[in-house]
Amino acid sequence: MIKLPIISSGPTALQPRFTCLNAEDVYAVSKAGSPADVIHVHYAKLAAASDTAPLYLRASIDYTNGTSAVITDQDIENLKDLIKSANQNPSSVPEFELIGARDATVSTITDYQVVDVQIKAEEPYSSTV
Amino acid sequence: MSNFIKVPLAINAARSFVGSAISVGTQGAGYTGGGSRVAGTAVASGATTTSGNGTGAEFSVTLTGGTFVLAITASSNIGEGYKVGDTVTLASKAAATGVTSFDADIVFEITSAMLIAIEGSATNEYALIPINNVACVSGVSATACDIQILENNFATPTSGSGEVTKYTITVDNAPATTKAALQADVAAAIIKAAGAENSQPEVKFTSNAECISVVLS
Repeated sequence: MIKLPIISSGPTALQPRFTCLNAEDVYAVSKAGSPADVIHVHYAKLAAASDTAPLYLRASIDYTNGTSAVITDQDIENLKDLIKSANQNPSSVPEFELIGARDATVSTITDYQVVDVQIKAEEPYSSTV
Repeated sequence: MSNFIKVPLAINAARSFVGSAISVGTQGAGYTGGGSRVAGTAVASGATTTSGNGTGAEFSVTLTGGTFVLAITASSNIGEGYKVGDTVTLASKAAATGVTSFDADIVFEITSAMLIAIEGSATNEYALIPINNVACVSGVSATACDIQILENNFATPTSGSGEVTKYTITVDNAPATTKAALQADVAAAIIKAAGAENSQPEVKFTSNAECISVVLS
């Protein structure tokens, strides 16, 4: 499990609270949107041990708040590393923060906070971690 | 062993009236008033006073066999913040040709059947939700959020459109919380449970929001 800061959830923009996202059964992470404001986390999960084909699901982490792209290629790599780390330490719930948040101001920090996260079914994604 | 979170279910949540008709002429000790009454077409009457914090309910009043029947005038007039045991007063209505009238206030005590159904009771104080298969917590509105599960709930999966199984947690809008706060409240309990094997943390709702239902779909 990892946690993600939610926009407008805390007492101030600099003190956000969090939503959470499962880090197990992830096989790919990608960015989407134009500008790039959405991260897709792709899951492949066997519903039952007897199943031969997994379910393919996709979580969309939506950062669509500002007008410019906030997600970089390095963010995707960082999230992959964080997911690996979370799986190596099952009781840990590390926080994922976009790189841009480190240099953000009080007025721009919300561009780097999650608007919402949704998970849907999808067909298999073509790239792998 | 699975980890769970406990969602407290309000036993007597402040909530809205049902949209269907309410008969108040046989409501026992809580019912008084009406005085001299004349049957006629429906007359609108807002709930003018209440012993609790409820506001906004408006009824059309008719007489059937000497019994007052109240019907919510529109879906937007179901009100909010009413509790079982609160007392509601409808002001008297002066006589008018062809229209229902009563020369004394109608006062009635709210029963559970008059309000929208809730899941909680004295013997059902919590909903338990296993977190092992939780995918994420998604905000829906200021009164609902979804715990989405890593399971499919679709007939024909197409990219990015198939719904997954989810628990929908619904709270009443009085006392009010926000979409983000509700999402964070539920996520906080899941994060706590994920970090502590065999714990059963309880969801603490911002502003003491009251949970009406937890539905798996």
